[in-house]
Amino acid sequence: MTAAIRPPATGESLSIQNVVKKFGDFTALGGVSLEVPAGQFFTLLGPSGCGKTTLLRIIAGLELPTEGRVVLRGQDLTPLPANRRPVNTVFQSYALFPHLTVRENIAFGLKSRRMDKAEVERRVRYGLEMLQLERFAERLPHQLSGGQRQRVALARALVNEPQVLLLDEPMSALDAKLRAEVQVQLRRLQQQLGLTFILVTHDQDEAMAVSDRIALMRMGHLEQVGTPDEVYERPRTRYAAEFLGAANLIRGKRLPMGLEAPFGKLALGQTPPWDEGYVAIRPERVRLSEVEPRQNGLRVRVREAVYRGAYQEAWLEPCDIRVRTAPHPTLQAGQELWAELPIDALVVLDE
Amino acid sequence: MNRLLVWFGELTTPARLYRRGLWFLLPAAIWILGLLVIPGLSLVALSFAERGPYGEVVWNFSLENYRRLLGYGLFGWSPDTILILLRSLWVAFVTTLICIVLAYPLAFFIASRPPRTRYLWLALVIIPFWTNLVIRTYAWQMLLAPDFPFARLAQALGLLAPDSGLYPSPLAVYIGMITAFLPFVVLPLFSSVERLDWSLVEAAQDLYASRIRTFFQAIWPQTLPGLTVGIILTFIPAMGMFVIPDLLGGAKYLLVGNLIQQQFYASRDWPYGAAVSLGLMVLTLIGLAIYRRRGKDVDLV
Ligand SMILES: Nc1ncnc2c1ncn2[C@@H]1O[C@H](COP(=O)(O)OP(=O)(O)OP(=O)(O)O)[C@@H](O)[C@H]1O
Ligand SMILES: [Mg+2]
Repeated sequence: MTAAIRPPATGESLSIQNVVKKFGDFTALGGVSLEVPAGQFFTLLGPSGCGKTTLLRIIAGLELPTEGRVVLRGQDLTPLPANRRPVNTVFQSYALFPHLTVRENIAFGLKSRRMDKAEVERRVRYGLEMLQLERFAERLPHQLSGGQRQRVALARALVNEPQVLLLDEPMSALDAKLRAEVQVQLRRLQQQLGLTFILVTHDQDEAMAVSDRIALMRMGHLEQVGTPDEVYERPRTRYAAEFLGAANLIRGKRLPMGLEAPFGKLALGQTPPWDEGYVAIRPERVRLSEVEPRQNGLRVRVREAVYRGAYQEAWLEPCDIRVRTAPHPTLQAGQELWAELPIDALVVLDE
Repeated sequence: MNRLLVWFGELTTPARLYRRGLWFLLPAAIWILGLLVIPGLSLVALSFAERGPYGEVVWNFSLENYRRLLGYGLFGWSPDTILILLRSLWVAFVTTLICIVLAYPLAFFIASRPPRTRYLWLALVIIPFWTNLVIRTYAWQMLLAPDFPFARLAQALGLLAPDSGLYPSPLAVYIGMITAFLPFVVLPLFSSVERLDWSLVEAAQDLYASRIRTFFQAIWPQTLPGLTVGIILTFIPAMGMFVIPDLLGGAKYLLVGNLIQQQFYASRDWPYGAAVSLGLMVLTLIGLAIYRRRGKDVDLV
């Protein structure tokens, strides 16, 4: 595969400045500000109805923001209609033109821009090759499988060499296995081409698997933005902790460098900023042992243990903590042992 | 011949299936035979007969009617009938075209109304149907009369001689035809527009398409089913229309519909009328065939 797409400009970024979107008196986006560095795989993650698609459509120019601006490489895109933005979208429903063949679909954007024939030809061939669609070039969309259609939609957007590629849940119609494959492929493509990708999804595993950075959304607001491990390891709010993976939330009162929990005192890496609030710990960070640990040890009884193949899950009493460990054949309900909540695994949440 | 096959769970042979199929087709076949084939064949037979001195049909085989259709009359060849046929074709074509051009914005306008008022607008399109075509056409006669504002305006602008009306004239025929057929295009088109998949429009815009390209690539193909119905419902009746040209066109703007009507009424020349009818039918079929051929490659812009 030859490098057909121009080298990416690094550093310059897409910037979303205080975007508000109201539908009547319903506020779908309430002041979103975001910086996406060029060449990043950026993911908008959030539950259904939180405004992910709306934000994406505002970037694409398919929806006007009520307030705020979208700036790309220093240029204000807000007044530009969709067809004049150097941005392309892979739609959730793919929106392939049903009367055009795969080849014609892929050529659509190039022909819109009146590119000369040889260049159209070259880029279409490149797109077909890149997504392994050569065999289907002359078929109509309804003669393709879901995964093939998805690839056509991707090729149709990519051959335009957009500065930003927007993907609205492009994998939601695919089965789990294919989805995993496509995720890997997407990630590889993005790195090869060095383009900025903005992916919308409500699947946290998907977000973790492909992203450079994740923006977690909640009811029209950004809850937290960071790399996958930042967002996972250091969630800032209860919502963030619970949306990404499983979390044990421990409620308690503030102590200097510690927490007064119902089941005892815990040492923390910092003094909580609140009087009473939550501390989170991931189930896989809880350590079980036969001997008393030096710090933050709790005497617990196993209420329930479930063997899950790759790992083992257990619920502990009386602190009501969930643990995930490597399979541990001796772990049984009723067993008494020690649980350690390591200081570096305890995250003080904001609220 | 006794090959067995399974047909929707039933074990049978092709011959039996075939016989059963014929039974199922019988009612439709009788219907078509009674209403289409027999009258059609009589028309063909009639077109080869002669007119008697008192307007009766004389069953002598002759090609005289077709010679007349091609323009060979008592006084040698004249282009009159061919001119009438071509003019009818042209009028039907222009009427259909203008109706389409008017129907698109109208259909989109109606489809974009909120559901409650949408049906009000649809009703406004449909209401003229409830009035007889003849009455509507007379209404146009009055509206286009010499002392009505439209004609007055045209007179003031010097487009019209003083004290003359806007009818009878080709313009009046077009106005009458377009207003009569517009609903036949708007309604089927509306049903297509209402079901339009707007995500394709967004995709086209996302892919840098201009407004025109968006229309022809994302909207037009989706409205083709409705448009086709509209075209057929307009073009075919427009070809044979005689009420409107009769009332609004005057003697100089005859269409083939008038010619046929004259043969069956005033001239009492049924055989010639039959021949003209068949000529019209052939012309219409050619028109539709051209449309279907062209309809296959709709890769515009
Ligand atoms: N055209 C519209 N008119 C009114 N409300 C709208 C419109 N479009 C979206 N909304 C509302 O805005 C909110 C955000 O919608 P959006 O489509 O952005 O959600 P989403 O995060 O993409 O959800 P999903 O994961 O289900 O696709 C929703 O509550 C939705 O009902
Ligand atoms: Mg969505």
